[in-house]
Amino acid sequence: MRSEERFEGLAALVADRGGALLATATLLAGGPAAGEDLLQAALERVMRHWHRVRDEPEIYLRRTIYHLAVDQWRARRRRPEVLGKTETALEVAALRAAQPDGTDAVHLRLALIQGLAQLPPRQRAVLVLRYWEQLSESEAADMLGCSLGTVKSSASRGLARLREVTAAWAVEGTPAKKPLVNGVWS
Amino acid sequence: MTRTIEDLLAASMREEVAGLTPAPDLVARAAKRHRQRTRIRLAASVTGTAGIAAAVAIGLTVASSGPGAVRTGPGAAKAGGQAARSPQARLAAAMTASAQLSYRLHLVNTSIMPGRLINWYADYTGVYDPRTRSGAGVNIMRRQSGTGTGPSLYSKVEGRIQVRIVGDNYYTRSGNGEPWFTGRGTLVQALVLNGGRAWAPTDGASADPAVLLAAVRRLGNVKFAGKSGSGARALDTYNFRYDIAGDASVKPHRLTGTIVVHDQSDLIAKITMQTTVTGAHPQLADSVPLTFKTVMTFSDYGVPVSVQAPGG
Repeated sequence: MRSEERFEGLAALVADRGGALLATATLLAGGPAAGEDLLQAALERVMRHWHRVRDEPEIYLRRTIYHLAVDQWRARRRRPEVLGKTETALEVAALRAAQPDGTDAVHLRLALIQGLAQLPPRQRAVLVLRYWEQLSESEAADMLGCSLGTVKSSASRGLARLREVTAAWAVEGTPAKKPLVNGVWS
Repeated sequence: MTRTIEDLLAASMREEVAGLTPAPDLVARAAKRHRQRTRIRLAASVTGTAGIAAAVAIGLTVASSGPGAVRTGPGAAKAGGQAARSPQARLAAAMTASAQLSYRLHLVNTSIMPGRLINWYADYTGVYDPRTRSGAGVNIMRRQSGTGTGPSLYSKVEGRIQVRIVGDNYYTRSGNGEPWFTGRGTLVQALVLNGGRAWAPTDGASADPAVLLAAVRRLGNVKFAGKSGSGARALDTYNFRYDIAGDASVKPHRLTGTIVVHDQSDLIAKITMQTTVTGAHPQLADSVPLTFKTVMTFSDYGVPVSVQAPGG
């Protein structure tokens, strides 16, 4: 029996929901290529336990993606590929100073995504669950198999880090700060 | 307009991954890797731990006729004694001597993956005659159903498999009246492959008796570990270790074990061995080390063995 036939329904699931699943995996893994690797690894895990999960493969697949992202991708001890452009903070600051117009928004987005990719895996997973999947804190805790307190603290730390990364922009309507001077944001 | 960092992050995520679609062959690639991983596990079990078991149980008939064979019978072994020969020569003589007689074999093979609930335990009891390359026995497969750490805690019996070996073929069935499954391979393939239902053809090469025999001959590090008992009950114990090269799928690993030989008859009494294999690919979803332990006990040398192929 061919494996594709044995795992009946899995190809249809990926055809139907593959885009959303890959998007999640991409945000978790830090880039499209790593995201596809992560999604493939999760599919392999689903195939291994197919007899148990065949009735609800998507639930198990999504949960596996998150667990692999938090546990296994951390074990790889490899910096994720960085989504978007890869300017350093100094370069971003210089760009912003030189182009104080509509390109700000683009570079802010890039900085946020870059900052997200550089967060610890659990913080990244929590932020993806909360702000990409739009899950509640308790739902996120259930997905990751951790406590509500862990979700709250991970989200708080992750957002705090992203605020630092994007401090050069007027995130909440305040004027943009001056770029880096001698290593300190003014 | 004021936007919070949360709003900006959500918007940035949506923009960043908009339009992503997985490769069309993603499921096929995952299925291929799944099959490869399954084969790696099975091949490792056959070539790693069970390799020497196969060599002793089956392959040494080849040894006695091969160019490098040690032509030593039980009588010659007794005359020489273990002290007069190197550990390697003594074991080669013992294996050759054991391969010239029929015997009763009890083989216990345990596959343990730390932290997993699905660990396998095979307990085979049977007889085998290397001269006619035939044998029969019963293999009990158990699967760990809890979090116990030892086979004694493996509670769920998955199957009681009848096994026959005739020449190059093995036959297995789950009970009287059930149809026989026919495979081509060794006793160990019949046992390790859980009845050989699916993978025997693809892994046959890795269990080739000649390859396994070469592994036995290359037991690089063998040390005499001591004698126990006295008279006809005296036993000599040897420790060995054997390094197995890695490849693209499995990291280099080491097989370690003990061989116990009857001092007077020069026949093998017991072989114990274990190895732990780990996938070489960090991105393999399952990179948990897998440990195989095998204990083979030989007894009743010279026991009559008369086995025919089913339906023959």
